[in-house]
Amino acid sequence: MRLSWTAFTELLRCTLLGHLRNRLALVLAVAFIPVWIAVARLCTSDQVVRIRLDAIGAPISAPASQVGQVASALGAVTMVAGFITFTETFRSRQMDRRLLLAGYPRLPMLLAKLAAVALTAALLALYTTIVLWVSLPVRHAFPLALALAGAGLVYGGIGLLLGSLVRGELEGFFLIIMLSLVDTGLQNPVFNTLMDVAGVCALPLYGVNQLALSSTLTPQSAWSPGLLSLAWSAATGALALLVLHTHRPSRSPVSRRTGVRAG
Amino acid sequence: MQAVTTRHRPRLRISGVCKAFGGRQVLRDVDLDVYAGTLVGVVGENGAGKSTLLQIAVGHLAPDRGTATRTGAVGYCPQRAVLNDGFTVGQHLRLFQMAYRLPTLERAGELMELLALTGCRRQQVGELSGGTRQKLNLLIALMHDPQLLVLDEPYQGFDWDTHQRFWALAADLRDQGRSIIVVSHLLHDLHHFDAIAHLRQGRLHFEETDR
Repeated sequence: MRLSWTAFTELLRCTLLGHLRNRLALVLAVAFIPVWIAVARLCTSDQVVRIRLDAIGAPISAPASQVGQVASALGAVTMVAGFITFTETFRSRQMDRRLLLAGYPRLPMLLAKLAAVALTAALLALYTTIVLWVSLPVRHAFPLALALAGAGLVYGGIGLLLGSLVRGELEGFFLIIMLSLVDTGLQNPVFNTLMDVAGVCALPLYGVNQLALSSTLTPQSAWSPGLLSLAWSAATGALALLVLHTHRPSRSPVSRRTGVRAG
Repeated sequence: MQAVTTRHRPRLRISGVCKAFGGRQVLRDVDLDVYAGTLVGVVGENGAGKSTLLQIAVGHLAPDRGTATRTGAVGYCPQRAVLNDGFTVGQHLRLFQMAYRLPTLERAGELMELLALTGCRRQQVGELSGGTRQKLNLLIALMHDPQLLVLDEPYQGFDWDTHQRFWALAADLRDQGRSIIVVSHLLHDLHHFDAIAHLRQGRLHFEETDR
C-alpha cells in the first residue's frame, strides 16, 4: 500500500515537473490563453447578438465580443491541455513500458497519469477564469471555472488517448488542433447563432460550452449539460488507460512465477 | 543448441522462437540457452533480428511461436536509450529504484562512479550528450544487480575508456556468476565472449571463441 502511494506520488511529481520544464507548453499556457481571449475581444464587435442556448431553453442577448471571449477561452484551454498531455504521453510511453517491465506498479502509474491531467486542467481553468474575470463582467465565476476545467479534462483525456495511440508526434498535434477547431468552431454562437447544426450536442465541448456561456452571460448556470463533459472525460480517460494497459510488456509463464523484473 | 553446457538450469532459455514482421520471417526456430557465469555474444548483420531476439528474450515482444523463459531478476539495456527527456537523471534513478523495490541507491551510486556519471543527477536527460544518455540507459539495466543481463549494443557513443571499463565490468559480473548476453557489431570485442551466436537468415549458428 505504501509502495503504491509512493509510486503514485513520485510519478505524479515527476510528470508535473516535466510539464514545467516543457518551455513551449509553459509559453502556450501563460501567453496563448490571454492573447487568444484578447484577440476575440479586439476583433469581435460589441454589437448585441441574440443566441439560443439549449440548456436555458430561451434566447439570450449579449455583446458578440463577450460571447467570443468565452468561446476563445474554451478553445485555448482545450488546445493547451490537449497539447501538454499529448506531448507528455507520447514522449514517455517507451519509458513507461520499460518501467512496467522493471516492475513499476501499474495502477499507481495509470492513476498518476490521470491525476496529472486533472491537475493540469484545474490550473489552466483557474488561470483562464482569472483572465476572463479581468476582461469580462463574469456573473458566476465558479461554474465558469468548472466548465473550463471540464474542457481541459476532456481534451486532456483526448491527448492521453492520442499520445498512447498515434505513431508520429505531428499526427497527434494535427488531430488535437483539428478536433478542437471543429468543436469550438461549430459551437461558437457568434458563427452559429441558432446552434442548430445536427449532432452539435454530441461534440465533446457541447456541455461545457453551455455551462460556460450560461454562467458568464446569464443569471443561471446550466449544470446538467456540464455533466456531459464528465462523461466525455471519463470515456476518453478510460479508453486511454485501456490502451496503456493493453500495451503492457508480455511475460513468460516462468517469469510470472518467479517475479522477474527487467529494466 | 546451447551456448554453454553446464549441469544447472539456464537463466535464459529460448526455445523454438519464430517471429515475422509483415511477410518477412526474422527469426526461424531459434534456440538459445544462457547459463550462470557465461558471457554470450550475439552477432549478425544489420537487420538480422538481433534486437528482436533480445526483446523477445526479456518479454518486451511476444514471439509468434516458441517460448522465452527466464529465472531470476533481469536487466535489459535496449539499443536506443529508452529514457524520459523531461525527467532528471536523479528522477530516473528514483523511479527505477521503486520499480526494482531497492532499499537504497548504493549500487547505482557505485555504477555512476564507474561510468563517470557522477555530477549528472540534477541534469535533465534531454540536455545530456548521446554517450551520457547511453551510460544512464546501461546503468538502469545494472542498478538492481540482476542475475541475467540482456544488453543490446550497450556501449554506443562511449569513449574508449568507458568502453574498456564496460568490458571489465562485464567480465567481473560474469565471474560473480551473472549471465550476460550482449549484441555486438565490433570484431575487436569478440574475444570477450565465452560463446558467440551468429544470427544468419533468422537462424542462430554457434561459433567457437579463443577463451
